[in-house]
Amino acid sequence: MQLDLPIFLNLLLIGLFQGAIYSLISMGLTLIFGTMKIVNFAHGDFLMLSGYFVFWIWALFGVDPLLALPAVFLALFCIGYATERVLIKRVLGRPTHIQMLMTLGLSLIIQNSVIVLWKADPRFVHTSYADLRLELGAVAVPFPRLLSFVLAMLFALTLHLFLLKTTYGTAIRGTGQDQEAAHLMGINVNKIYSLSFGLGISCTAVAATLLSTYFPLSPFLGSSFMVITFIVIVLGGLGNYLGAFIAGLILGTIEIFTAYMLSSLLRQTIPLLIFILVLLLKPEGLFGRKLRR
Amino acid sequence: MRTICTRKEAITRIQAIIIVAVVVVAAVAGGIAWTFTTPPTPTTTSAAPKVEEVRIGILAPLTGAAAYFGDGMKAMSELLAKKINDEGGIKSLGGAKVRMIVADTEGKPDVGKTQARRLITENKVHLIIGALHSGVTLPAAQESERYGIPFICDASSHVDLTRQGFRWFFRTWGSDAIFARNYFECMKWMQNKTGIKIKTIAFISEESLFGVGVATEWEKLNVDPEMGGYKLVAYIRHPVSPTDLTSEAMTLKAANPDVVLSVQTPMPDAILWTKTLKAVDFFPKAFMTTAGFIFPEYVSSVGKDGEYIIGREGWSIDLTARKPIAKEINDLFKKEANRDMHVYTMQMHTTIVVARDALERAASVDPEKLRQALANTDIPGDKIIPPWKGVKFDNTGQNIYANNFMVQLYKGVYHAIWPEEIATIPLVYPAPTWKER
Repeated sequence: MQLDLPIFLNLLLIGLFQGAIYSLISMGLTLIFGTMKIVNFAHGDFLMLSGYFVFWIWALFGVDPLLALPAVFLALFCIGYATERVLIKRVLGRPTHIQMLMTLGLSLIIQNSVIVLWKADPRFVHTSYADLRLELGAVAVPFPRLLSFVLAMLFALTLHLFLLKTTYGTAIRGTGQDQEAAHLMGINVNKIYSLSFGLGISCTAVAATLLSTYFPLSPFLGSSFMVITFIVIVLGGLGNYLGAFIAGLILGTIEIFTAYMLSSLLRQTIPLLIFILVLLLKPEGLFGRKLRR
Repeated sequence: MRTICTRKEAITRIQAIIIVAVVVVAAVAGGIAWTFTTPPTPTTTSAAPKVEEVRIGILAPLTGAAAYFGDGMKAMSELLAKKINDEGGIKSLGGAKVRMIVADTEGKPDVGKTQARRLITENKVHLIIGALHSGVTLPAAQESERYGIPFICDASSHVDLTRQGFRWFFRTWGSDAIFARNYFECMKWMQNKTGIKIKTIAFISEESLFGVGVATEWEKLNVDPEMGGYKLVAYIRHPVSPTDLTSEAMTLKAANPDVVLSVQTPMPDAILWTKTLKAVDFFPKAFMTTAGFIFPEYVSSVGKDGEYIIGREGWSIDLTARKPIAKEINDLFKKEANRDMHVYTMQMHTTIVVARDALERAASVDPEKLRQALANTDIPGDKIIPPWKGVKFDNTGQNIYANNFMVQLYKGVYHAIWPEEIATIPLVYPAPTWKER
């Protein structure tokens, strides 16, 4: 396809917007991995579950998704916290396949419970600003996606500041770096695990809320986003949330340009190719250096 | 290369004997099992015993992503069994009662195959109806070929199903080749009707067996100058359940086709296409769709943005006003299931009408007699709900009258627009752009 400046800018913006969503989901996943060394295969299903919460708050009470965000964030934080306490705690430090079975099982349970409770029908949240478009000359972007991008950036910044500046944030990072040392420093590691899991899961709440303003919801939403999320966290360096943030933006942009310039079918192929190359050439990820102890 | 085996790694003689023994025992056991499960060739018995009950196996997805469709199919089959029995059963069989045995395929090929075998060997069904998904129907129909039990296909449309040389397979529904043709016939009619020429077209298809199958048929038809001959300005193939479609929609906008032909199965994909086309501000003169675009949940999700979309359909509530049988069966179904029929429940009715007719004419449950009766089927259009001339099978088992019609979403409801004789609203072509709405 031919590429002129307005189209280039349009694609770039959409790519960044798309990437911001990937970043949010991946930051949560990589935060959990970084602290607890467990891969949460149910992450996408928490994303889907958050989406349903947003939908029902909108459908039953008419509350705009963005206004419902704090409530959904809190709800998912609590669910994440409790999940860690009840289920994840039991498999920490166990062999990887046990952890995988636990989170994969959790994924199946969430997905099928949603189908039983709310059927497999697709859902869509209608907002008053859904159809707004911002036009700057030849460049036009849908307002909900721009808004999502801005809010995603704000959230990422807040999360970064939280991890960097607060006591809990420092404790989370410390536990991720060395669990035993953190323990010796008087950090309640178990509590930090629950907190990290809750925080990681609530990242999906933010992503789902922003997605819901323009993306249809179904019980299978999580699986669509999970492949790219795993690529993002590997590219960013496992456990490195800043790396995941940047990798998300990069992969989102690459995907959008690939689909326009080459073929839509290569949407997932090119990121997967990058994934393999990264694993071969720089297994610690593009931004993994910082993690080296 | 080092391939030398040390003494320790090599197997001992005793181990070798055990392995050989196990293989021999397994082979013998397998052979015995095969002998017992291989069906005897169907034989015609001269003095057939009185038939008390006719068992019809129904293959439907009762769980999994398509459970919504399977529920309706099950309800319809049981409803019709009751209706037939209340009307005196199969008269030529001395009023034998009809019993439906519904088996869940979960929408999975392997499960469908196992269930088909179970229906034949354990439930001893006389006929099988199913199995919605083409991917499930194929292995299930292979089982019925193997055992020599007639299989009436309800709504699987893959072209290959009638190209297998199956002897026991009969499809009441159309094939993707027939349906693909319907789009081109409709486009021709649209131009004649409005005088507005279609010059360019584009295809958007999901990367699935169904999506690519349909799009390939379109490509073939477009090469034929009689049928198509339009300039194909874009052919977009995209993965199923994509996380974004903006690039694809921008490609489509840049190509600016007069008509877009699209094939997407999951409803979320259909919703995303609609919303993304709006976000990039592009809508063709005619947007001709199928599958994911033609269900009530799609309409409730996209709201007014779905207006003017054209869909290929086999069922529309409009039919109840045109055909007494459509109204009768829909009322009956609604009373029982508390909702209107959908296309697959309608097809369950069509197949059961075919089955009942064949049973009456065969006056036997002998597989070969039933197969011959099915092959000689000639049911007039007023006995079935779809607006077809009837049901009559060619030598591949394909119903030669099967067809689909086109509906357009207008004021929140799908109305028939083509063929003109069943149209309930005039066609809106060209469709207004997003800004004109």
